[in-house]
Amino acid sequence: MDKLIRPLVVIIEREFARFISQRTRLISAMVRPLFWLIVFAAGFKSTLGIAIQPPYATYVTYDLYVIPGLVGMVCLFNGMQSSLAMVYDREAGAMKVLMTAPLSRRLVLAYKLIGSTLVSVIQSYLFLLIAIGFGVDLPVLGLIQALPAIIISAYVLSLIGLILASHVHGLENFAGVMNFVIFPSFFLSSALYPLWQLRESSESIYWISEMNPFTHLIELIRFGLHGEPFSTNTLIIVAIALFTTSFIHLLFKPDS
Amino acid sequence: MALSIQDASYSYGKAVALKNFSSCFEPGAVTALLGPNGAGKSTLFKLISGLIRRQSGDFSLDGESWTSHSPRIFQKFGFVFQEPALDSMRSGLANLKYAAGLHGLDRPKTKQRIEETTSLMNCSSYVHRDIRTLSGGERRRIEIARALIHKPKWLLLDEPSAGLDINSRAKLSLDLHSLASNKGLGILWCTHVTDELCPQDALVILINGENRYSGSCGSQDEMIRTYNQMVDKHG
Repeated sequence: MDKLIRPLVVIIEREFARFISQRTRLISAMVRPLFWLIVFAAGFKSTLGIAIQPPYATYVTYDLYVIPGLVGMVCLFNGMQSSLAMVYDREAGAMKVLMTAPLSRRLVLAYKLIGSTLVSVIQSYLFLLIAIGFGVDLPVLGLIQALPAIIISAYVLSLIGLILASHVHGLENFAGVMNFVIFPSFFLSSALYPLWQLRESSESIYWISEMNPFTHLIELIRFGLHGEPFSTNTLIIVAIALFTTSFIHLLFKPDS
Repeated sequence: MALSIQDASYSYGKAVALKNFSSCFEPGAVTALLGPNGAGKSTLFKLISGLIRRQSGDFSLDGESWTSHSPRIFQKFGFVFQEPALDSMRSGLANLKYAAGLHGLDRPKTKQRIEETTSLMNCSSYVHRDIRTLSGGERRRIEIARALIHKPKWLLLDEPSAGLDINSRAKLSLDLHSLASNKGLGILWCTHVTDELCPQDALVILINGENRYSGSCGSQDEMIRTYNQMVDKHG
């Protein structure tokens, strides 16, 4: 059993050690969504309310609406940064140690994903607690009910990051990919505004956003935070994530 | 536990790196895989370690063939790569613990093995320091200690002395040879310099991807002469 558990433990330990030791990463992981919450959402709070739409039972203030999107942002950035770390490891040579370990490649990558997911989940809850501290009226029970949704979202976003990392050579190229992935994913989603509002402005942008997986992950978190932790969507996303995980080692070529 | 390679070939596009390479490396001794730059030594090393996908050839350890990545077989190997492969953001100790964990060693066993391997490689005094603060030679010793952490049967070294000064190279060579003789470890040592080898080492000379000589030389001079002859003839 140790042969399976100990590698998982040390891979997770390394993810955390790296996250904690990189103070700028730790701080920016919190500052980035807080900046949106404190500056952006505060500015719109008095002028924007969100009309009644599921899962909300009544009108909600903009800062409450934007929270799931910001949790998604935390997971999205961490997923990409974990993958960036993987590209760095590959360039610095540390990846060779992992690739020559007596573990199947599938297991190695699954462990990396679990490590990255855990870091994302912890960051997300840290952010949620700070948001409560800033006066966002989040339902306490929702914090617990959202856990599965946050775990799934963090896992899927780490998975996407890993797929990108398997195809990107060189740190400088990864920075470009981050711009092409993070910003479109975030802005073309329901993170900052409901999709029906987008539809009023542009039908094509609405459909792009509707098809954006990030939209569905944010909605999972939104419904989770407001008392609906599971839906059909959850099962579909979990199934896709597990299916993709079982093939990810094929994308991660040893020669790359 | 002999390491055997039969008919291994590998090309990077049209450039042939290895051509029907065959050899059998005996356990409990140092085998030097000697060849000039670009001879195919690192390619062979990467093929054994599964870092590149095999194109042809049969690789076996004690008669048991393995595919490009076999966790069970890899438990028996320790690898030291040509380029530094330590996590420079952590200490030497953290790097060793990480490697021990990847090999499934529990905490008490990890502690014990770290003590043993750092003592063997004479790096106990600086293993707690950050990798960034260590010299090239110190880093190399930690890398070798890491490769030995799980008590492998074979230690595979790809130019481990690259970038080291003469004294560090001589000390490293001495320590590695004593590992082979005292611990019964098989060592496959890819290198292009002969002065770090011992006359009793088995020699495989690789030139332009082909095995041009297998055997052993009685003396250092004989080794150098044989190597130069092969390079002149086939290089």
